[in-house]
Amino acid sequence: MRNQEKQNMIVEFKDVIKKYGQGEGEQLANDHVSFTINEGEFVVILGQSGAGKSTVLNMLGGMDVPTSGTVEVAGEMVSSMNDRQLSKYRADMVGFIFQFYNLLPSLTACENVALVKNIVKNAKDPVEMLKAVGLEQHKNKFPAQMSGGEQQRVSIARALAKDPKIILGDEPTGALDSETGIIVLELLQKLCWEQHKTVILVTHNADIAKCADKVIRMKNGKVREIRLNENPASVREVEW
Amino acid sequence: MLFRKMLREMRDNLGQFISIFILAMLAVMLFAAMKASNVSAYRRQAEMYQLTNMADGWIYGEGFNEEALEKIRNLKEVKDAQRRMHVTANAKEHDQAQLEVYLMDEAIVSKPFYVSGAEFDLSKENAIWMSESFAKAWDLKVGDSFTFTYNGMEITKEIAGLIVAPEYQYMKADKDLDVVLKNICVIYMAYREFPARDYVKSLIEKGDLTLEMAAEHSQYVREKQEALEKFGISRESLTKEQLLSLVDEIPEDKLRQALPYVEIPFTTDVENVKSLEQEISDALGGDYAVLCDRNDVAGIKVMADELAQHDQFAVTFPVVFIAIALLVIMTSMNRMISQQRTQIGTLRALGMRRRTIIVHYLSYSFLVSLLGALVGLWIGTYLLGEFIAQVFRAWYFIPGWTVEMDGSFILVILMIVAACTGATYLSCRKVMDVRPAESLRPAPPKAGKRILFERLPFWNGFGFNVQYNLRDISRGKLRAVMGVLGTAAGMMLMVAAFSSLTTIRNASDWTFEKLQNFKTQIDFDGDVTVERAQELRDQLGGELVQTAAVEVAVKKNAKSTERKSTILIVTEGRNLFRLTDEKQNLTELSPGTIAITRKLAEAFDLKVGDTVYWHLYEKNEWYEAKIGLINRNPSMQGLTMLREDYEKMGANYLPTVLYSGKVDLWADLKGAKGVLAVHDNADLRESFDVMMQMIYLVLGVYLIFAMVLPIVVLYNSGNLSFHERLKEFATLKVLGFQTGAIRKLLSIQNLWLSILGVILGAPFGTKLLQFMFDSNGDSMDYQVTAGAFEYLVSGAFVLIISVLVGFLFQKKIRRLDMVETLKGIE
Repeated sequence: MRNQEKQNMIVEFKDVIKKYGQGEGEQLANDHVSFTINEGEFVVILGQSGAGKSTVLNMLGGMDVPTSGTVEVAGEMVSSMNDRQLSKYRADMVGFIFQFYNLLPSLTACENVALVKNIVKNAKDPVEMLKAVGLEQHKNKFPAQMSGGEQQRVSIARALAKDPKIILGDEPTGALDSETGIIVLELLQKLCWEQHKTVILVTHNADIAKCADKVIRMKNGKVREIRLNENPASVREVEW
Repeated sequence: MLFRKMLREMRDNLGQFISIFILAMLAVMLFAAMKASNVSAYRRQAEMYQLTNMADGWIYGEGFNEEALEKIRNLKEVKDAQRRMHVTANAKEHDQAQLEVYLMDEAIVSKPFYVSGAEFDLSKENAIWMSESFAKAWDLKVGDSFTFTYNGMEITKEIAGLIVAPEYQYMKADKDLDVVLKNICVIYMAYREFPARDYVKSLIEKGDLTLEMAAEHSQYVREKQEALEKFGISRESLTKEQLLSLVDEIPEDKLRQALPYVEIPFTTDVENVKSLEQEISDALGGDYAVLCDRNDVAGIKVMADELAQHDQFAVTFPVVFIAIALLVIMTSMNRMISQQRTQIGTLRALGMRRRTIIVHYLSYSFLVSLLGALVGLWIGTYLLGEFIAQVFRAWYFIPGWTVEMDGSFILVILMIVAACTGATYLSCRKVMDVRPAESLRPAPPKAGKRILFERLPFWNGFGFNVQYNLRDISRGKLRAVMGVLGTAAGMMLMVAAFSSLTTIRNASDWTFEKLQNFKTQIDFDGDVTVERAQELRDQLGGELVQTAAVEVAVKKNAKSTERKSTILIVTEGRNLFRLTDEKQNLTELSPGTIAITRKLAEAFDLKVGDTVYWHLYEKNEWYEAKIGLINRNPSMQGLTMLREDYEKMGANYLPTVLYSGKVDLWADLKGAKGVLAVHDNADLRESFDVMMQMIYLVLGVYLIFAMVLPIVVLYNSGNLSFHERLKEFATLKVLGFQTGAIRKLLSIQNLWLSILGVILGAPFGTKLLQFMFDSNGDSMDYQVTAGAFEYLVSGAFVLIISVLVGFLFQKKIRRLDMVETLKGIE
């Protein structure tokens, strides 16, 4: 019964509306979205393309701000932060994992992870982080010399090196084959279960939802369902 | 539809297209600004030459009779020829202005260029034609009477017309350091209008003409003298009064032999006029002093040098600028096409023809660069070019000189447009060669690889900023080269501009504190005698100096092509007119030797101990002298010798100037016999500084471009770097990098490139300046000086620009849309 183990709320989305464009071209990406996430939860935001899930993730990551409503993370009002505060928030609070990894091609795996030393004071040892994701032997390789799965694991190592409170993933397995995807998901689940990190993933893959503590299903910019998984499956148990 | 797409995309990428537009505009503008006035000057000059039947060669001698003229005319290669007398007079009522008076009885060669009043007509009585510039300066009108003095004799004539003298495209009075229109004038008049009888009488009065001298030149006088001798009157027993009464009996035309024709200007189709020397010498039996071509005539040569300098500028600077502009344009277009990759893929997937797509993308750069080039052409020609022409029209006289274009303008525009369009084509082809399915996806970022810097033992000691930027430079080499070359060119121009101030200040100190160790310069008029000059020297104290036009060669009677026209200075060695060696140290000339200036010595490959030969311009008698000193003078090339040596050779010593250590002499000397003008050394220095304003003008342009270049190039390099690394910066931003930190990341690379550019460009600054001063004519020998200060100021200037350019990206980075940028990254 994992849900009983954690109590503290870390994220609160309250009546968030996000609009893009103006006049006739106005698009409503998020329509009165509200939900909460507790510390240490493994959350999957599920929905089809255009459901508004990435918009939620971007606002959570401090890369975008709502048109109205509030986004509160760990007691801080992210929705009313200025540019400087948002940068600090992203540096201290969030680790981001992208679908296409976003490694700097001119830096080696180790250097990509070591990059965070320039951002946070107490960054973790990059070699240790690569070891944690099983890539110690690839530390001197450039991104172009690694497979997609390896690059995504470097990306996770980079996110972890900051020791963030929340790890956000935007379709982190979207560009990977199923076996590599499983390895990446396993890694993320392990982070949540063993290190009590809050992991929030955005995906359209309903199978991943089976591994989550909480599933937020979105459609047409609205939250259609928030479901708690009493007994989330381990990644290896799910049939992919 | 595609046209609409192009317009909208131009609107969306306005900054980029504006930068290409500006660069194309600047490159053509710079070329046009320098060239347009030159094209016009050459064309109007050619037109003037045709209308005036401008001479190609000039023969100077002590006197040419009709027979001599006929012999020249009969030479196969000579088309037209005529005789002229030339005297230098002055206008007492017009501030002692210097008048170059030409007397002739026919107008065939080098006729004056008609401006207003009566056409030049030698049959018109009591008439003179004078320089329009002088008439304007003194508000003289056609029909006014004008009085001038020659050899103490006043001559008054009516101004029949205003003209421009084709041989005096540049003219300044001997007493001036710079062009002062009120002080110099060319006058043309009929020989018969010259009062020869009065003139001969004035010569006799002054003792400058004796019967013996007259007999030497005139058959008529010789006959008269023989007749007198029959009556028992010897030439020695003839008194001055008897001689004067004899003059009254001599017909006017015979008297004119006392004022012989000393010049034969001629025209020829032979390009190398001096190759005719043997034929001319044979025709005249060697009885002439100098054969000159247009390069030897100061009034033409100075103008030609000036135009040649502009030609050099019109090529040198635009070439540097165009090269950098092309580099910027090429890299920008390359980036733009790369950005359009998916759109190109879509168009191809839709089935659009390859050619249609290529033409569509070529039209972007073609239109923008053509538009920029045309605007640059207009501004460069009609605004800047006209401004330059206007400035130079104050110094040079070529009727109708304005701005015009020639084929080279089209060539430069084609070059810019072709290079710009060509760069687009190459980029476009690269994308077109990718399979449509592949080009539908964005291009993967360039793969990282080991770089040379990583072999450095201290590579691991570098921080993230350094390692990241070094790798980025390795990825974008062309961009880095552009940044370095752009700042190097900027630094070069900046050093040139700043050190020119030091160089000119140095030339001014050198001239007025070392070489000219006097307080006052007293110019003598043409009537002064040695006795009178010495009297003034004894009265005021100081040193007499004679300057004379001479020809120099390394052998006696050298061919004209082996001679150089220059100046001889004869000093008394009293330390008021001094000499400096090649390092600007004061030095002295040993008696029995001659000093030769550095550039002249280099031209003849002469050194101390060698022998040099020279003759006075108007005399055919050659002298030899041993070189005792190679001296250096910033604004004059020539020979210097001591009066005692000059007189020992038997040459006729006649000082032209007195240098005195006293001040405020004008009040005492105004109107004094033999004195033409009095200048304080301080005034001379002021004139010198005014003369330098022309150089400041060019340097002002340098400074502007020196500032524009690094701004444009560094902004562009930063912009390219920014866009190439956009996704990386977005990632860094997502990771929590502050805007300032990303800007620093971007700026640090620009700063490195700038530092490299500064180091690379610095040594060329003084080279460029030396080239500029050297191209200013043979007489200039400025020593370009640049100290640590000039380099530091220039370097600091470029680096500050580099840092400021970095701040231009602050806003872009702050507004960077992470979500949008990172969408679909692969």
